[in-house]
Amino acid sequence: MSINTKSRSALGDDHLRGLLQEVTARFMEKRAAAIAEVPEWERLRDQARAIKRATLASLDRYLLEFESRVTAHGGVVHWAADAAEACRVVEKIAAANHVRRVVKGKSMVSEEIGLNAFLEQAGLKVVETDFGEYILQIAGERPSHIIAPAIHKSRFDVGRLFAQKLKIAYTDNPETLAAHARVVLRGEFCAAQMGISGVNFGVASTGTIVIVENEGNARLSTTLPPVHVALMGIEKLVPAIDDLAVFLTLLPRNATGQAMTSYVSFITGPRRGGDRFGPEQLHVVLIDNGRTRMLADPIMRDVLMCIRCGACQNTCPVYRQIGGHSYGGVYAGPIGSLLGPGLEPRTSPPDLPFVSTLCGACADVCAVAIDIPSALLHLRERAMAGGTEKKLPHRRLQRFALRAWAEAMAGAGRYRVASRVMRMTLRAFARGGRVRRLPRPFHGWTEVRDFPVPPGRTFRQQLKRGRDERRQ
Amino acid sequence: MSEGSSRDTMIADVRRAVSAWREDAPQAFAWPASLPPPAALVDRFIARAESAAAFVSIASDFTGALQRIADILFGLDARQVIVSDDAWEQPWEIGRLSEVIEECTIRPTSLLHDTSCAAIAKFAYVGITAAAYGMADTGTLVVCSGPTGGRVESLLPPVHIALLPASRVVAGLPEVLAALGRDRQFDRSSAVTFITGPSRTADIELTLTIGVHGPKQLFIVLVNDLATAPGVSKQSPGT
Repeated sequence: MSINTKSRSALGDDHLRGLLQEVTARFMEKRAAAIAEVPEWERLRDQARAIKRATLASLDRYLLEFESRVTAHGGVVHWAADAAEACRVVEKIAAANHVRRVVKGKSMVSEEIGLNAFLEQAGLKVVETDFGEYILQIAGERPSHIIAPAIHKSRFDVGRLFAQKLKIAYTDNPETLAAHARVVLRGEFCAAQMGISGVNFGVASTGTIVIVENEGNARLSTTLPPVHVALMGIEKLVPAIDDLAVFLTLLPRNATGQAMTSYVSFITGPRRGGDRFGPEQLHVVLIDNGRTRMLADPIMRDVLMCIRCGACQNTCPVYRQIGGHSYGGVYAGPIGSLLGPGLEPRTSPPDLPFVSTLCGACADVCAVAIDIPSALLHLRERAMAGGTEKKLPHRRLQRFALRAWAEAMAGAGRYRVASRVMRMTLRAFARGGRVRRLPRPFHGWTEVRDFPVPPGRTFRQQLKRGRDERRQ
Repeated sequence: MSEGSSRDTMIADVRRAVSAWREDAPQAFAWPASLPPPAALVDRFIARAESAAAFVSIASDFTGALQRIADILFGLDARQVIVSDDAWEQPWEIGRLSEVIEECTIRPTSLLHDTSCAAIAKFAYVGITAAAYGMADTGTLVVCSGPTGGRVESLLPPVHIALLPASRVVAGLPEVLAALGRDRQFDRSSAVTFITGPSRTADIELTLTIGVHGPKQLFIVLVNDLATAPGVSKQSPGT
């Protein structure tokens, strides 16, 4: 299904749009309050950006430093060039430790590499333990938001889902539903032989992995099972522990509007000799999967600075209408329209970079000040110039319209004539003060929106008239 | 030990990708200089911890703190508790935390001696730890793992009680990360955990739900040792 088809069905779903509007607005309100407490906010964004760029520019050195520190603390570092290799690495660790049951903390990169399906095919039981991800695993759906994966489900949706699939009495009380998940998942945590987590930050100088969360399921997944496997995109590194003061000030505030999340775990190696608790093995899987290709592109490399806060999704006027699933990839919203084509250029929908108004709201809120609109334009240029252009809808019409536009804009006289023709045409189609329907091939424009009727006088005419009056 | 046939390829790919890219590391961030008096830090810590839904009580010394803990256990009618002794390297002036708790708690509270995860998950109602630091700006506790625990006492039981000396309250992230670095805490602990309030989720319609996986209640017992302790909180980051 194309993005167009999916967004159209999302636009027709008032229930979904209501949820999206409400939740994203609340996120943005809380964010505004949280960043108002930090007078140095803008300087912090610049600093985060500078740290990330400097780290990426010497990424080979930091990766090797990180590897040596993890190893020194008794951890094992694995390198995976693509999704398939990453999945194989995890399966091999599982097989070597006779693992049958796996608990998972929230990890976007595990979605990216399709880990669950792979492990299940290998005969393992994999349980998502983040409450939102748990809901989605039961529903058989993908996350639709980076930090609030089940944002598209209402309490009634979840209540019906649990009643149907888990055979519990129907309730739409979030507390009761969460309490049920707690009981079920406690059993899973104690029985699992392996815990899988994502990584928010990897610290090169200490070999520490940092995991930011509110529920405690990541702590449980990384503490109780004897084997902990951490999946980490190679771009997650920061040079030193002190750098985290910058990122941990930015991330929770920008993501959920919290000054600090309930839990931030700094994990360095497996349990120490003599420790009573903690996993006996720690494996860190460093995943490339398209990242070095992005790193080589001077514009796309900035996208690798992303710390997955989700603020660009909350503020995006397009995302807020069509929701995460319409984008059709693992990562949705403005950053998803860059990460998708960047990481998976062959399978990513070709029109993804075009699903944006380029209004720039995403760049304004980005924790690391990624210039998302410029990068989207860069991908659009590439799509029009390169081979993927053929797959874009209406490309001929678009070409023609743009050429005509260029001609019209080439001189003042031409512009005047063109705008008069446009104005008269639009006025001819006006019904009751709005242009509600245009004939082919322009019908697409009015299918989902009305135009205001252009006024009788143009801006230039009004300006001229004003000048004439002042002269008199 | 490192594994995977792709190691050398990935490093080579990264080197090629960044070969023409020069970027200097930025200077250390200039955090606004603020060194409020320790007492003001403690007030701020209390306010922030409470707004994160933690319960804070204050004791004038360690003996008083143990009385506070006993009161909380009594109020909760807690039967079995688990205690971590080594959340920070300093022995308490009164002895090992677990021994003291065992001596002072009111029957029928007792220490759970079976430390299998299943037993803790099933029987332990309260986990007691010390906190290595407190962060005033966010009301956050820092709990470090060690030989006798630190990872599960603050996680598996429905209630977590943390003992925090007021001298260990610092302003915020820059100060606490610098202090943990000085302590070489990341070499020593497999897990250093920042804890702010109880476990929570908002995955259904952003409705706040407490205690989805971790503790449902967090009690912080602050011990006022500012007159006697060496001034940890008086240090600024990087000193």
